[in-house]
Amino acid sequence: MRLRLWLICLSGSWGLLWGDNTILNISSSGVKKMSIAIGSFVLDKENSLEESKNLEVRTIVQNDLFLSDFFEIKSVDVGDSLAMKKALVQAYLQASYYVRLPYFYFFGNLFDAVSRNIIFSKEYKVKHEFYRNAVHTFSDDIVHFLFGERGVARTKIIFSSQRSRNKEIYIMDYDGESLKQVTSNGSINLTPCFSHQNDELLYTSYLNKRPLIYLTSLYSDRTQVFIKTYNLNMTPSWSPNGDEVVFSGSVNGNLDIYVIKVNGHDVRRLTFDKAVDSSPSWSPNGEEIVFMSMRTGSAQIFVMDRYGANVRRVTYVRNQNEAPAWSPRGNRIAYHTFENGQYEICMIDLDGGNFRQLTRDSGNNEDPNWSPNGKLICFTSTRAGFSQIFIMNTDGSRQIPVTTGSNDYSPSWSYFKEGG
Amino acid sequence: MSKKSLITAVLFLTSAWLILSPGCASKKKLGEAEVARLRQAYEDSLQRAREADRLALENQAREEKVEETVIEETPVPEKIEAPAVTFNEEQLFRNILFEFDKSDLSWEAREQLNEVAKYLKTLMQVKLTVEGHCDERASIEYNLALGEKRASSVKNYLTTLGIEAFRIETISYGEERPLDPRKNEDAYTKNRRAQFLVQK
Repeated sequence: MRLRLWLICLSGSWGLLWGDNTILNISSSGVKKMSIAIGSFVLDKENSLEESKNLEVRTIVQNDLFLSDFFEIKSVDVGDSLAMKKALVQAYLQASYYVRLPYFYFFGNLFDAVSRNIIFSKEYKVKHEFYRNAVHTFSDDIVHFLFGERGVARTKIIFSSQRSRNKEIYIMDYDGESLKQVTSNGSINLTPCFSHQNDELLYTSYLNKRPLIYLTSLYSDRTQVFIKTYNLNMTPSWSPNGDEVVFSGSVNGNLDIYVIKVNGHDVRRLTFDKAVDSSPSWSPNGEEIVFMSMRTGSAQIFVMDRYGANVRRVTYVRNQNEAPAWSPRGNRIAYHTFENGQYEICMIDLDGGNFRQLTRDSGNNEDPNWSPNGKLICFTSTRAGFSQIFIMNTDGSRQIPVTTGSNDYSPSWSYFKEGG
Repeated sequence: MSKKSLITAVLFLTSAWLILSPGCASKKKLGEAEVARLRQAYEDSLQRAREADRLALENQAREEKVEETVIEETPVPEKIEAPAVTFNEEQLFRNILFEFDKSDLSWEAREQLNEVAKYLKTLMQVKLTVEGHCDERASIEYNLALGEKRASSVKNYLTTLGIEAFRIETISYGEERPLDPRKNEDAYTKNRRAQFLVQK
């Protein structure tokens, strides 16, 4: 009887320890991918402009579905029922589009492969120059219709790049397209992050001589100082509920972590030790912060709540564990570690279990950042001899470069646009 | 009750009332002079408050103006002129080097900084900026923190020698401004440095 009671108490307390922060934890090896074929995307020549021939609409959708990690794309002729059956295709797409200035029109259809019935159909109309956005919307709609999940085809990545000699901040679609320069102050611009609404960014810049954190609007020319209090102000991260920013600031040479309200008021200090505490990142519910600290003598990853209490250590192995990023899907942390003379992207559960190394023998791989649906990770890699931004699945498979031609650093993936 | 005791009671109560009640007669109406004096006092205090507000606004505007002026400071000249005294500034302010992943000062660095302190005590108007730099190994963020520690190391040593803290500014550039862009040990050694900017 006593033993039974004791066991009940023990299991109860384990439940408390693990908490209830785990959202549906679908790893890419868990969800069964759907076999899909992509049929013809017809350019309605009668209606359309000559220029529309160059819109790679089909390629955009194919790439989106490929990268989403929800599908296995079969190269089968959708008209050949036998081949489709043999390849076990479950659904297929067909679409048509045209341009009648100033608009781009797109008609996307999803068919069930067995019955050959339309199961989803939608029309899109956008200003011609935003045609990519309409096509990405269709890809996201397909993902949502089939899996009930939000796709990331319309998300963006900002990063610091040396493509114009000095490091400026750039923005691009998650697939590397539509690259645009955001800052052009001729100075050093580092560690950018998106605002919660994706309409602003925070970053460290030396544009006024000292390293301060600036806020720049993505849709207007407005730039203003956001934090100038400390000697070194860096690594900002905007909270998922949009009301606070966590960052690291230095006093007397020592870096600590602070939180400030988005309106620039009410700073509170979270770490007080004499070692470097830096690179903070929010949990998906905004209640906790994962960060790097050297308080034990080497760079390790810790977690604390948003008031600096309840500090727990996450990593114990190796001496240089940095740049933690919390999965939007639950209690997993991606980070980089120094192993065999190189930096590698790793993943670990918050309780220290399920350690996995995601990159291997491919240069230095650093600064992982999750897609907002937690299905993909972007990071930098020097495997080609310079620093490129890559994206990969969360099990480390399918590592694909999305930038090239320059040295790109510190990628930050956008949030989902609310209501969009 | 007898008539006598009734009269006594009434008389007692009446006199008690007369003695104890606050005299209506003491409530005089305020004279005009008094009113004028009070009004003047009120106006004066209002005037003082307005004056204080105006001064506060002026001070704030002045501070903001000063701040802006500081940001647009003219850049420090590259060539350091030797003063009339016997300081070899080029030697004195040569870069201080650091070991890999370290921010502590070597003995040579300390000896150099002893001389720097002497210089600063002789030329009281001179201010210093100490820049902390790193080689390109380790991450951007790690190196920003390390550069900050290196610059602080130098500043802290100088302040323990009695140099006022406000005369020394520190700034970390991490790995962002290498002296030598090559990827070899020679370049890395040169890049792990604290660099001085002298303001006279």
